[in-house]
Amino acid sequence: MNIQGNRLINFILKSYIGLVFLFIFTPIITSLVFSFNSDRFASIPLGSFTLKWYETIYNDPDVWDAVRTSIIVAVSSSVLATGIGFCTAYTDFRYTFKFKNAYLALALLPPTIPLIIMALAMLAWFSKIGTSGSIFSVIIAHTVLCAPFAMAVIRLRLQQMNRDIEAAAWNLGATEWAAMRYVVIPFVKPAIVSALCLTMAVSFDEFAVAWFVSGLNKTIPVLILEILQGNVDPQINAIGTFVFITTMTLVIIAQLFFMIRSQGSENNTNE
Amino acid sequence: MNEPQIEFERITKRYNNTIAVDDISLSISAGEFVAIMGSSGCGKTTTLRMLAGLEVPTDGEIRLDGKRLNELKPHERETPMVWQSLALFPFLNVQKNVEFGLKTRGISPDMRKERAKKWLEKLEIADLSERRIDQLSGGQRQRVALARALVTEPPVLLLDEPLSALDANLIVRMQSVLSRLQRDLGITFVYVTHSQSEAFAMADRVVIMSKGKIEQVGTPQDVFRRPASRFVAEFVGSNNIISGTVKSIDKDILELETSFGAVFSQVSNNANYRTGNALDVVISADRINLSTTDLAGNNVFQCRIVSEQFVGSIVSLLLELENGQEFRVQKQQHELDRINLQSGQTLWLSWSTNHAYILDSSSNN
Amino acid sequence: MIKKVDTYALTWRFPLIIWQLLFFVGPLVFMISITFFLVKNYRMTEAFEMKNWIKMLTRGYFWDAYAYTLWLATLSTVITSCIAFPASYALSFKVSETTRRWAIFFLIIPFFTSYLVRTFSWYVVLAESGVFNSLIGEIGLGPYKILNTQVGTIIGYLTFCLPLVIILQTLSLANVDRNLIEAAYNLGAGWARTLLTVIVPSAKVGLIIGAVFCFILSYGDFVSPYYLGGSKPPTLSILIIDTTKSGQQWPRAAVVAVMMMSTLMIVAFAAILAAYRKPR
Repeated sequence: MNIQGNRLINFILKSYIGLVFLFIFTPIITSLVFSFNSDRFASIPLGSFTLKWYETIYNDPDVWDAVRTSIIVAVSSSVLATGIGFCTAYTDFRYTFKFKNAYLALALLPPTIPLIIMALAMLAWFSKIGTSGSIFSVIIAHTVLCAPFAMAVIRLRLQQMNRDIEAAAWNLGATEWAAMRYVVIPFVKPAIVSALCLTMAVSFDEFAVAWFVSGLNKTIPVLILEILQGNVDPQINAIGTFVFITTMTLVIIAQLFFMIRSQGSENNTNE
Repeated sequence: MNEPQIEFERITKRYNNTIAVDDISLSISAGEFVAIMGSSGCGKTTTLRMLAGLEVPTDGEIRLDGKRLNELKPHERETPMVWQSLALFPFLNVQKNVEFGLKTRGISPDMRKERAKKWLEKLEIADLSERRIDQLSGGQRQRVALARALVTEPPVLLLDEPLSALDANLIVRMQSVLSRLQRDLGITFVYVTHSQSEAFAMADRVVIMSKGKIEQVGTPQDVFRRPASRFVAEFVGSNNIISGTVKSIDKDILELETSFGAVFSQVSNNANYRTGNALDVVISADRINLSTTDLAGNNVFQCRIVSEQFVGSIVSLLLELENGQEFRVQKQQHELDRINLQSGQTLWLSWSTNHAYILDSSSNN
Repeated sequence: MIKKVDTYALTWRFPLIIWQLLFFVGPLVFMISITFFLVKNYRMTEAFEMKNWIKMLTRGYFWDAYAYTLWLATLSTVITSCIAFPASYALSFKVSETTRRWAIFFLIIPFFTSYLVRTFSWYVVLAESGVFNSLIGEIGLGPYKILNTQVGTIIGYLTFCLPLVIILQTLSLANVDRNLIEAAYNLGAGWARTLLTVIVPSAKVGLIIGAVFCFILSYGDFVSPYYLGGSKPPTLSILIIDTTKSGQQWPRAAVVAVMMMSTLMIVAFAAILAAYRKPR
């Protein structure tokens, strides 16, 4: 094969990447564009620029209720999930014990179960223990779904911590609790912020489990799902854009905090 | 000697099926500078970590000032350590790093500041107190680590290969800083290293470990001139070890039959050697004389130069006898001025009978 | 030796155990047990009967849905993997490290945009009078009916799975030893031969993991088959939703869920075996 042929192949491959990205981003961009389009039934050519869909959702009390619920759920479950994720990541970092593999499986398995199955299982379980339809159900369910992500983010940060610095704190007279407070937590802090944002974003987007267990406490995605079941309604685009901007902000903050790793990233092991 | 300050009594440390430290006993007096030396995996770091409470001995007892330490958690001991990785807190500035040990002991902020300042000044890094750790050079970090460990004014300082990350020039500077510090403070230093030059340069006593056991404890002089075992003789490096069998003993002169001829060595009169015994003799590389003419006499052998290496003012030569036996020789540059060093050149090497040290036969392998 | 209870260690270990037993293992185990419960007067009562199992597993519509779901998930896995591979290959070998990092960053973005909104967008774009058809109408083609067909469903699945599969494939392809590829070329292996005998086997684990994730996601998703595929015939997920939401028949829905889970476990297990099997 000669260079000419290679160039042609490279060109084809690179255009192909472009096409694939076009496909992936078409729905995202369409939704953005049509959220400002005046026509009810989206088509080419576009109608005129309008903010009326944003006005509609702004004036819709259901949307505000959903926003409120979503925020309560996302904040609570992200705090819980990050707490549990931190405990788990630290345990994995620091200790070895019997059945540790089972322990880690318990921590990391939830994302591999289809959401619809989790949804049914949670629905049945919550109605059994009597919290069905309350906002707590959604919070608990989202905590289960989000904890593995929090654990992964914090575990990666702990990986960058030189094991000696915790021992150095003990060596300088700190109890294990004090070393946790003055050394481990300060070191992991960026990852904790990162995990909070990431899990908040995951919770903000989850609809299957929330739909099953939320009862009347609809979150935004559940509201979207219900609007979808009705007619074609461009206010979905407006809500979608709003959600997109919120989650992207969270993700970018998460990413920024995760990249703070300039400090003490070397990881020495001992003889 | 006064009462021992630190005592290891028959200490063993086992991890599952591997033995890291195997039944060692060691006493260290207050104010001593003791270096524990050995290659990696010999158990030296484990020994130090047991003293700090970071590892719990499987067997035996560790005492500090006569008090049993085994059950004390790390934070309940007064054994601060300077880590190989330094283990400075990356999210705290220099000042806060140094104050850490005071903070954990509940000392008031004003007092902390004052005492940290004193140590920062003592280590000549007072002007860096507001810097972040990643803004410091290797040598500066070293000083912060020292200040942080010493700020609580402990009776003992543990050092785990503290200089291994520094470049050669800085190592020499820090060695003198450490030596002076130890003398000024009068506290005990327990210093773990794999580097012979560091240990010999600073320590009052050297402990040589191998495979979890102590091979020899002694002054650097002792270890260098009178190694207790073949292992130590080889570990110390600049030695020639010659194996042979005892041919005859005449008063205090022992004649050894070797692959390249008869070797004579001085022994004490009451030593118990028998003809036919296998023995190893050690001759330090710096105790071998060179000459361009045949001197005649005992312990003189013809050889040729295989290679030479200049390390500063010291010249390291590798010589080969006619039968292939190799000798390492170290000489000051000026001592060799009259010899035209050239690969393949013929020389005569010799040593005096009292410079051939006979290894204890019981430790031969 | 007497073991002392290490409260510190247990403080960090227990939150996960308690939480996951209560709210992860608990629900799943309970879901399995309700497959044996009965529904009387719209209320679930505890029992140990096989009725739900018999009811569901003897019905043609269950097996139709089962076969259809398997078919759709398999089709989605094959199509997604095939569409993803050239892109992953190009991202691994044909672009700079920086470009690759940016590409992966952009591929992560879709995870944080609402899948529902993206599905709705396709709905708008692909409708018979939608954007796509009016665009190709300009060059005299169409209109094509895409919504409420399998093509619609697959487009939905692709939206969902493609970014993840490309990321997983790219990460594993980028780790293939370049020297190995170089060696294959030097030994005279052609482009296709190098790809099939060196690159694909070396990246096998990552390719299979990508496929498995795609399978799991497509298999469990209900949005695409419902809104883009028209839910006729229903998939297992839609069956679960219909049975749960309309009929209050949780035990029967649980039977479907247990069947789904068992199938997934078998598929995942087989895939892992295939991924880590030693080459002949």
